[in-house]
Amino acid sequence: MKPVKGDKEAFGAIVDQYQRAIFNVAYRMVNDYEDAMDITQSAFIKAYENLDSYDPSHKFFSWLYRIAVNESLNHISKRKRQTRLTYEPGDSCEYGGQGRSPADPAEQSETDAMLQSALAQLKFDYRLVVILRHFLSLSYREIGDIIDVPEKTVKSRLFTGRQLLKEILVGQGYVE
Amino acid sequence: MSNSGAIEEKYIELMNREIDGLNSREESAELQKYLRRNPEAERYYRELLFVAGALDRVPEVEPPVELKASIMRAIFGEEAGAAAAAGAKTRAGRERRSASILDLFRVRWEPKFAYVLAACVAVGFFLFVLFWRVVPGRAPRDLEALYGSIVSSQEAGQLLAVQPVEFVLPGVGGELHVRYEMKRILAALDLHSDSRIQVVFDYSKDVSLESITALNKCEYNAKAGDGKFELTHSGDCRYVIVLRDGSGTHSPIGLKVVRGGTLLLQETSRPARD
Repeated sequence: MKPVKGDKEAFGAIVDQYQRAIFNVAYRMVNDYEDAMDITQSAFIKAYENLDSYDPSHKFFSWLYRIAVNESLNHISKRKRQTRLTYEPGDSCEYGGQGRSPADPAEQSETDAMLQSALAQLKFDYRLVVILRHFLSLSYREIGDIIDVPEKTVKSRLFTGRQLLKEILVGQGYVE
Repeated sequence: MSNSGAIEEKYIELMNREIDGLNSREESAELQKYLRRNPEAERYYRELLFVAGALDRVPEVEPPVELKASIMRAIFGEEAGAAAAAGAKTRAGRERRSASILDLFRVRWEPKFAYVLAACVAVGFFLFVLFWRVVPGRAPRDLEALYGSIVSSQEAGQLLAVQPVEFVLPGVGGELHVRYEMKRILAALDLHSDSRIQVVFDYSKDVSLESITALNKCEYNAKAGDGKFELTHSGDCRYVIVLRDGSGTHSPIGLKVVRGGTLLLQETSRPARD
């Protein structure tokens, strides 16, 4: 079924259904609660504006997640440009260095914080595939549809991503 | 830290596929054999498994309650944003109420609790033995009351609960709790709807409807077909649905809510990975 522009109720239901997943992917991608909120909002706005271009022969969630992924990528590029402009020696240069967490930072466990920091050190392509696989439990094919690469590439990025994460966590003494 | 350099590429792929649950029985056996004779690879695999497990266990972050309202406001203007905000406020209020009740039971773990726990277990075991000997026929009946003769006491330990699916849509709301047993799937569905809706459950061909019971008086009609089951409902009702899972593979259950031919919701309830 193709959602129709102007149908508030139907679009509200779409927001209800996907906002949590998109917000979580964005949060894991950019490591910042407020930025994740901005990305989620602009992803839904873009989706609404481009409803006419949605092809119902593809899964709706793949199309929506693809928009959200592009929004995250745009956001990261924008932030990198800003960081370069305002960088001072001693500042964190890595994206997401501020790491603003959920409203109550005490709620973020040590493991969560450690993983989040390790994820932030991965390149975008690896980070994205690891997040889509482990946080949304998507199959290789579904991930391939979203990021528009063959399953083989998804597999290779996922395996490398996991290995890099392992090396970071082992290096920090977190993995025994 | 283990080095992947000494490990054959083929086995690194098998390790990752094992983590993703994609290996055949033969591939799993081949990997296990390889790990047994290669301690370096075994260590590498253990570390990889730890990372994947940690990633799977990271809890979801709760999005801000005002998120939907701000999206709706940005797209449809102030009125839609206000309506969404009102809905979010109601939900947040409900969550706050339940959180405050949960807070009563939230305690910080201290070593002294181990003694209290051990004492409780001992007393509980003593009472259980005493109770069992005095009234031998009592325990099975109690279990029957608890599980409605759906599962035996042995099977109860093998139940696999799934993250509940909760939905609040305009004029329709509900909650679906699913538990997987060895050969059955139990579902408790709370539904409230201002108008007539269809709730469609999709499942694999090995699954079939065994029974549906409405726990309160309400208007409903159930129709089971090949690989699906359709419930027509209006008003407020709680249903207990029992599905027979012939293969016992814990296949996912798809849930669709349809009103007047319009799909309002599509969700899948699947058992969590170990």
